[in-house]
Amino acid sequence: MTGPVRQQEDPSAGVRFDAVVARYDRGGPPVLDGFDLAVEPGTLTSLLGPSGCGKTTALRLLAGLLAPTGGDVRVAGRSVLTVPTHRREVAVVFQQPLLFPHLDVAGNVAFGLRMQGVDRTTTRRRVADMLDLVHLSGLGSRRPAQLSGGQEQRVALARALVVRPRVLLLDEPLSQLDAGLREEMRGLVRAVQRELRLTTLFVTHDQEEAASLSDRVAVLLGGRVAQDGTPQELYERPASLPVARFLGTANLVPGVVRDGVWTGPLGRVPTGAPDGPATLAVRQESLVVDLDPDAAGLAATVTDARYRGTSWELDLHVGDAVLHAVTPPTLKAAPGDLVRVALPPGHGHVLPD
Amino acid sequence: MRRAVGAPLLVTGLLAGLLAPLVLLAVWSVTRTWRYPALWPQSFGDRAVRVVTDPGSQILSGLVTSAGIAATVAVVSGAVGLAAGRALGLHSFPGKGFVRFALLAPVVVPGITVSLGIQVVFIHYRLADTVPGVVLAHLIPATPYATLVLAAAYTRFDTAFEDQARVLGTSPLRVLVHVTLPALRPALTVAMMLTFLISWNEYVLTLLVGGGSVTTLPLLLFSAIGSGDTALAAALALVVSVPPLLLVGVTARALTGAGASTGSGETLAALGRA
Repeated sequence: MTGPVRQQEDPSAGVRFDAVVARYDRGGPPVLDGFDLAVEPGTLTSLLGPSGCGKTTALRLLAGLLAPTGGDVRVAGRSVLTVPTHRREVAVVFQQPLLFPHLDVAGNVAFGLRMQGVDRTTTRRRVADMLDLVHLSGLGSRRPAQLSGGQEQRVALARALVVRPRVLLLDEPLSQLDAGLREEMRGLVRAVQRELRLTTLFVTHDQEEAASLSDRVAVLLGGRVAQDGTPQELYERPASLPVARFLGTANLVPGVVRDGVWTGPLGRVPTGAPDGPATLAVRQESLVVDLDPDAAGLAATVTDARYRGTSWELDLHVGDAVLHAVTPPTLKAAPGDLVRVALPPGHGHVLPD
Repeated sequence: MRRAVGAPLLVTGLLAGLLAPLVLLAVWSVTRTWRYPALWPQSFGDRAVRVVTDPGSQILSGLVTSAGIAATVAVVSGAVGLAAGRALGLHSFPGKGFVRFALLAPVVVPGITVSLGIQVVFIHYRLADTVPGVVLAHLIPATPYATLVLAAAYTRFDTAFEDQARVLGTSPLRVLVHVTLPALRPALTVAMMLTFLISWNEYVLTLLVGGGSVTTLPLLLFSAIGSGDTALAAALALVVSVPPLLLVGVTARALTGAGASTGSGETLAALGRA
């Protein structure tokens, strides 16, 4: 009845989804369709996607709360599909803290150990260590109802970590918290994950969260991974137009590729993309704005300027196209100004439509 | 102001209404003669009390039989209610509305009509005149109550707690014991208390299925009433009605003490809905 309790120094294991198909209704449309993803041991990967893209479904498959209709899910190289949920050693922290109301904080954290038959002394020590780790020492005898939202989620995290899972799954655990607290919790999650070198899959729809937390980010669109890479790769070289659209941080300028050159409102950009209609993705920071209307570049009109403290955000009209640019805070542009905008060579990334 | 005065008055009134008959029973049980115009018995005697408390009398064995049958009915219908209530409260399936309606049938249809049919069937399966037969018969009116109370509790129970326990390495049986049952405890307590009382007070089914060889307290009470021995009937009535009152009192205390739980609170309201 009790699952094996792992005592190794580094219990983490890699995770692999192979062509996974999952549907909630038999014969209904699949939520995941050909879902492939590999997570290296000890790393944190975010599953980023809009709501309904199947990211929570992927977590439930790995945890054993749902069975796939096709494909395979492996932990440490072995398929886990026939392993019952409670023996998978895959712990989950859900969006809701789900603390057991009939137990106090220490009782909640100890829950998994008690269920696996770990002896009392060991349990007490590991619970105390874990409460330390999430900065809750001394609150062991509190009732869940006496905790703040952030404390509840930290207890939930401690409760998942104390069982020393091979994989930790986090299903938007911070989305219910307010901004300041979320920032703090992100730091905690990252620090704890690094310290324990725990293979972690983090589901979120918040790009900033994904980018700041993760070793790798997998963008999940329409039931499959549209791109999997480091946060930088994702932002600098989105793999496809849908990914760039979802990330939303780049200017997407329509144009045409002919003979290895993209031509559009922003001029000409050499590319390896095949001939045909294509979109140029340009990061907002890549555009160079010059207040001198006689400078080199394309003529543009400032339609709006928003001061962000560390930068200005400008809306620019270039012909029919609307561009967003982020410029240094020293640049004093106002709506109505005629400016020049240029794209330095090497910036911009052509995506076939 | 008026409410502040009204509430204690109401409580006092209710308590008086509940306790007055018991006081009257207590007086009757120690009465030897009490004839018409007198407002107070003419003479007292402890005959009825001695009969009732005599360890050799049928009363003690009747008490044991009643308590045993009622406890068994409470446990079995509680267990059935847990499973059936889960299906009704958490899942949707074709014909669910009909099942809900059919559950009420044994409650709506008069006991005597059901009993006659049951008797024939039980005689055939040699369950008539046996304690298990009586337990089975009592389960017919008791189980629907347990099921409906627990179905209401399940609708307010978040199964995510069960998922959470499973992913922490908890086997299905332990999930039931350590997560689901604690969350449903108030409703389960109410359901078991109700079904205990249904069985404890059952007369017609016990008489027909038990055939006189399974002697529960209500049977003894009815025969005492039939014999015209008012003092004995009053003493027996006390024996029949005091344990349930104590049970309800203890349960109510346990329920209010239960406090926060994964789905408690309005458990008593569930009774109203059931």
